[in-house]
Amino acid sequence: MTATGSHLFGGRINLMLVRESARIELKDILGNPSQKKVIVWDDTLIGSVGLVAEVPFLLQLGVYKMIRLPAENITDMDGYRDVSEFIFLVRPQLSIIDDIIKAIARPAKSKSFVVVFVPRKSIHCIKKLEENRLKDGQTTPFSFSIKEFRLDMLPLDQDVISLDINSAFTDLYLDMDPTPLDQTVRSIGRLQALFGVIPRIYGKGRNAEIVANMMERTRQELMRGGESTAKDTIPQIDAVILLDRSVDLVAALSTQLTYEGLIDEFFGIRYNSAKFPRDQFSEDVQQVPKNAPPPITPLSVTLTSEENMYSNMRDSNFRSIGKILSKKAREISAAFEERHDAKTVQQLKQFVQKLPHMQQDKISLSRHTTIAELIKQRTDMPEFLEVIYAEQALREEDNSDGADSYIEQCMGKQEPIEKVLRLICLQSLANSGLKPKLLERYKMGIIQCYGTQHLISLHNLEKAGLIKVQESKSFAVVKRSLRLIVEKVDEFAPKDSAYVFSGYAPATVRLVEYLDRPNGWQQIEDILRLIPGPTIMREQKVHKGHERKKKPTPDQPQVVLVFFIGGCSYAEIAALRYLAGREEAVTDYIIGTTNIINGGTLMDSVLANTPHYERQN
Amino acid sequence: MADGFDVGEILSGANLDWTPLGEGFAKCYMNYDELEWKVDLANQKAVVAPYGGSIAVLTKHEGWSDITTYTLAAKKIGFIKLEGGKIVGMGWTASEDLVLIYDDGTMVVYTVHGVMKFQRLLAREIRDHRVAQVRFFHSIEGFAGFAVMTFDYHFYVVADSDRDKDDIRVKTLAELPSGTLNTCPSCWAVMPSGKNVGVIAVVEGQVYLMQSFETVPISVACKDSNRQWTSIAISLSGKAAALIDKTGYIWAGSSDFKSQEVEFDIQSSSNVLQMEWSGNDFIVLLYEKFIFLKGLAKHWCKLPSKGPCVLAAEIDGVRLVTNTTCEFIHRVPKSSLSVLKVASLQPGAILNDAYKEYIGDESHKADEYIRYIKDKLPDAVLQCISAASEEFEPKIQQALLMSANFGKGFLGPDVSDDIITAFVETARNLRVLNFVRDPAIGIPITYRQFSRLSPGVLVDRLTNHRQYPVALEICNYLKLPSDVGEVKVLTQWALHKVRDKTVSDTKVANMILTRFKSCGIVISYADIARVARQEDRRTLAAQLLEHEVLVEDQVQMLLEMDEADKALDKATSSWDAQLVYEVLERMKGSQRTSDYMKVFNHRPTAAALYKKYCKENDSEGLVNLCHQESDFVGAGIHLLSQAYRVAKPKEEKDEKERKEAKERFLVPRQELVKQAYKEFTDGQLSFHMKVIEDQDRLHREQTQLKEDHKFDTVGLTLFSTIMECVRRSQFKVADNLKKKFAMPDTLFWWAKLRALASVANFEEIERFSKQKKSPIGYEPFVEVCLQKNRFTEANKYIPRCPPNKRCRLYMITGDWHKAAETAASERNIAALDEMLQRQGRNDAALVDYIKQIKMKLGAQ
Repeated sequence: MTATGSHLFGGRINLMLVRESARIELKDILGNPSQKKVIVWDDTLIGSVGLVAEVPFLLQLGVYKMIRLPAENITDMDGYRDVSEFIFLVRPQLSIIDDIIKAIARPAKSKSFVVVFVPRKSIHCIKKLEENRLKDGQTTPFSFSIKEFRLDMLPLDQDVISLDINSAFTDLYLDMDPTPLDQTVRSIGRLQALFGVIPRIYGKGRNAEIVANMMERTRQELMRGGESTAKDTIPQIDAVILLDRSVDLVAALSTQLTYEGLIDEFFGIRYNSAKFPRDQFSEDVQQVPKNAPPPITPLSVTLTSEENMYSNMRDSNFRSIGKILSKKAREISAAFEERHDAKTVQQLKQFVQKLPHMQQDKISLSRHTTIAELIKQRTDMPEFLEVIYAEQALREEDNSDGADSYIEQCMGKQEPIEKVLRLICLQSLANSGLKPKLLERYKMGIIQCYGTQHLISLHNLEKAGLIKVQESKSFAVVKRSLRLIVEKVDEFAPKDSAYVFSGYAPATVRLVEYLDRPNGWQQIEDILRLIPGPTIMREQKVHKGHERKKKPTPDQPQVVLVFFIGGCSYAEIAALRYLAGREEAVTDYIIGTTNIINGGTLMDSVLANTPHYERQN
Repeated sequence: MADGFDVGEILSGANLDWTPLGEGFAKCYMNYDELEWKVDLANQKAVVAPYGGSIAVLTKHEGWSDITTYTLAAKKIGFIKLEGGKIVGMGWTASEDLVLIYDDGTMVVYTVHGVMKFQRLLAREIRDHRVAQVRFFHSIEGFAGFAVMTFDYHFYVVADSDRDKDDIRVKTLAELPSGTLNTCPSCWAVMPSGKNVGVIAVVEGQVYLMQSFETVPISVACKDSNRQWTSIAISLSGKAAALIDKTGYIWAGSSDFKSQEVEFDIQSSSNVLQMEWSGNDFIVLLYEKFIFLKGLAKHWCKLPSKGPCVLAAEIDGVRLVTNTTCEFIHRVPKSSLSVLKVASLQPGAILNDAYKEYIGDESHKADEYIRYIKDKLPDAVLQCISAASEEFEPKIQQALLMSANFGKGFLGPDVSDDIITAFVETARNLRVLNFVRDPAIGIPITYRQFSRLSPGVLVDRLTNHRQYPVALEICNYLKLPSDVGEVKVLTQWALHKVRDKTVSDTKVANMILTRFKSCGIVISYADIARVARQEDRRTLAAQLLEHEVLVEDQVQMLLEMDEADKALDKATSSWDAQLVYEVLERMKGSQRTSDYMKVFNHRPTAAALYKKYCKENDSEGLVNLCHQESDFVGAGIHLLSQAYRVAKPKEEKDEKERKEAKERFLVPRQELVKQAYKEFTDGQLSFHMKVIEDQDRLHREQTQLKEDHKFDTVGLTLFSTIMECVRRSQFKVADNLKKKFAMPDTLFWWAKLRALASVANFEEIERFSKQKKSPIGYEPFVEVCLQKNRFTEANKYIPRCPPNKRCRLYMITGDWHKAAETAASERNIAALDEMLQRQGRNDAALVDYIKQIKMKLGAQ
């Protein structure tokens, strides 16, 4: 985690502002910094809040100590007697309320307690607190209040914003809970307040339509009370593209083959960092003082654009990573060799100035070489290759019978259920559904191999639309018309966004790509009709004189916010960055998403509704 | 150059109404004369609101009384008719509401228009002992309140009288010392110091400061400590105090009474009617026959009586209202002195002179003056600007600003931003002030008061006086942010319209909507609707509420109007889950369960959200809702997940305990599964039913197995059960299970093969492989052998694998010759090369063999 947030700076729109406004809000919530306070954390919030407010900042705000829930009778704890305020930062989950109640079971009178819900209050939580005699605004027998920290969005990098709703997919497709939509609208509203009205709105899918409709309403809200910021700011974002996750679930379930994507698949990137087995890394990478006993915890590595080398390689196909790393290694050693060429004092001085930067690169190189090796160990395993081949076959062939036996083989080998179901779902999605007989066979197999409770899993997957009986062949048509399958991709010097899956271009990214062509989406109206859900093409009135006057050019590209409703993967982010990085590109992309997903986390979120399901990793 | 008035003459005459008061001057400016009202202050009591606010005049009649409110220009604003009750105190709040205090401790608050806002009892003790006296005060910090003395000489303070009825805080002050408890104070005043308001009282010549927790005697720094003080005045800032005794001896000094600034004997034994501080500068004493101004040190002056009148202290002067005039007494400010005093040598005065010469066509003289003050020109300009701001007369203001502008011209491009800002702001603010000082508006506010009050509050006050157009004009002119300006004014205007019941609902709604739509301002329609509802105009409220853009507010208001159904619709259409839950909670509290469930008809989002909540918290509610929707699969799946959620027992050590624990968990689980099965049956869900039936049958089979063969598979899946049977060589049983549950061949073969491999039963594997053609091929056979490092066993199955796989498999088992053979038959040169590379060093025979093959192939 970086202390400065400098990785947010330098993009086409300054996402530091988003971070800054969150910090101001938090400062406001914590109140007088001269009052000693303790933050009591809901474990699941440490990562997200930490992204906008790192520890030194919290200390500045008067935070004296931090503890995690569950904790009992916190006011009795040693060293907390002179602390006047206890601030609970929690998600609005009923289960956490019990922890809060336990934590303040026997409070001293002089203490005050504040429960801060992130990002929103929940009426049920408040009710439960009240039932336990904890009422907002009470002053006796001790002071207690309830607040809200509207951390609607987290800027992850200079071009990525996440709403951090891990349940977004199941909320939208399983529980029909519209919270992610509401939060999307609020976030886009906030972005408009900061960066001006977005003149054009595009969208695909039912949820995209809802968001677009609500955006119109919030525009009025923005006007209310004369908050003229949005009205008066010259639009910095030229268009927004709202993409319902259902536009391309195949991409969501496919194994990502970019460097960052694979780190996420294998090690899981949470709030910009991933954990790796520590013993694999050399000491200079770990940055632990020598002679100190090696810590047993895994090594947490921050992965953002702040690290130059990572920024340059994260979006590359993993096959090219070896080459990139060895090229880097040569560059670095060549740079170190330069010291022999330094003849004058001036040259020597220049060399010394570059030194810290070079040292940093050296550490980066060592670190990423290790990570790449860790990944390679797994990608070389036959099990991994089999999955990749199976996925490829499922996506490419129109009737992939060969996959059936592979899937059954996985069941027979009692492979983890999420792997089996992920493949079944992929097959169903890639074929616009499964033949009734095959579906029945799979279902029975799952029950017989993994147990009756997976009737629940199957039910939920069907409800979410991940498995269904075949009705049409629409995906095959979409696949062909949008040229999603690209043979012979060059993983080293990609000519198409399909490189992120070694031959498959996400439909989401293709739609974004088409928008930049002459006539935009009008050109592909027939294809758009084949993708379920309405198509949105609208305009928002901007303040007079704020209209974009010139056509975007590669030198002065337009900025487009691509918003994934229901989550997007690092591979998709990579693909969009690839689009923006092409020489002829006239568009830069800011990526918004309800959350970052991969096939594994997506399956997990659905299976989490099945009792006793625990992911075997 | 403005026509019609002689600037020189104006500037020269600007100090004519100054009255010398020691080193300085006092000035009494006539804001309004010939007031057209029928008020006689000799018989009627009047109180003036601070900052040039309204005046309330109380008239007593036989058995009843009335109060009329006016602007200071005597324009009538409101009228209140009062029946009965003895009014002890009357005064204003900071936001210009009128407060009446009755002797029984009742506090009644009216708007300036005479509409009663609320009434309340201050405190029971006050009622019990009756109110003897009330003193109103307003502080320099901008809040106002009052203090009450009861007949038992206890004091109570309300520090902020602008609060709502139930938020009014009555603070009891500490008692007077016991010896003086039953003595009436000879005089007392409120001591406003921050929020900690106290009272200064004089009892038997002793001064006390009373606050919440203590009463402290205060010794007055006065030569004669036995004076019988009859009147006391504390300045608005709370910094200065003044006392007078019945002989006319005045003491004045700091409000801690420690330093004396004035010691003076006025030599008049007639009663002083009112004593007020003008700022912290001098004291104004009102006598029946004259008005006495007592400055600091020795200076004083006496003004002739103006007839019956009332004084009101302001932060920078004293307002004096008579039966026919409204005047303002204040010290001539420093900047005015600098610029306008006769023979002043201050740069501002000289700049003024220069300007006078300049317009009198004596420009060489003007040049001379300018040269003389060249270095101090910025000061001169600022002095003139400041002096202009202090003036009431527009002509003098204008003349002084012209002087300043003239001076500014000489500063050239170096003129500082401060000067430009001061000039522009002063000119702009003066325009506003002149506007509101006009008798039509009647707010004779000074520049300093305006600065203290802030433009926003002035706009509030105008709005309060229903001067909407003026208020709007000022908002626009001063470019106030629209949330403190335009929006606020228009909202108040709309509220006024709503309260005016002479106009029909539809008309009012149209009027309001057109007005706001036309200027593109979005306001809180919910707030207006709330008032409409209070005024019992439900239709109007509903009409307005339709236009509210903030759904939260809209929903809240609909709930207040008992329109829960509508509120739920609005909440769901906003997609805001928390809002939906809030409405649902409210409905749940107020309706019977059966009625409550009906709200989900045709409201899929609300139903979905309710279900999501129920999943964790209200199982029964969820099942009920599913039934209502005929969603049997939903209900069944939920019950099933409840069943599997029943916690598995911990491993007990004791055999018997383990068994019991298992039953404890199995029984409720089975019960729930049964319920789920019923749902599936009702929904005719054959697949789901079959799964449950199978589970039941499997359970029975497993129990049987346990009895017959003494191994426990209860709770395992069919697949694992079969594997377990195979491991224990119960092949028949396994075959039977496969048949009974119609397990696909492929899965069965996997189960059996893996189970056999796990117990290393390779003979049986071989037998199994020959049973019939493997539905899973023979690679898995090779694989399981390889896993156990049984290469010879593995080799047995390679010939039955697909030809293109064999070569590689042989390479794995290490049978290189076979591998080479296979490669040869496939003409796979690449594979041969690989073999050479891998085995070339340690297997000469192989190398030869491969070379031979390669030659053969090459030869062909």
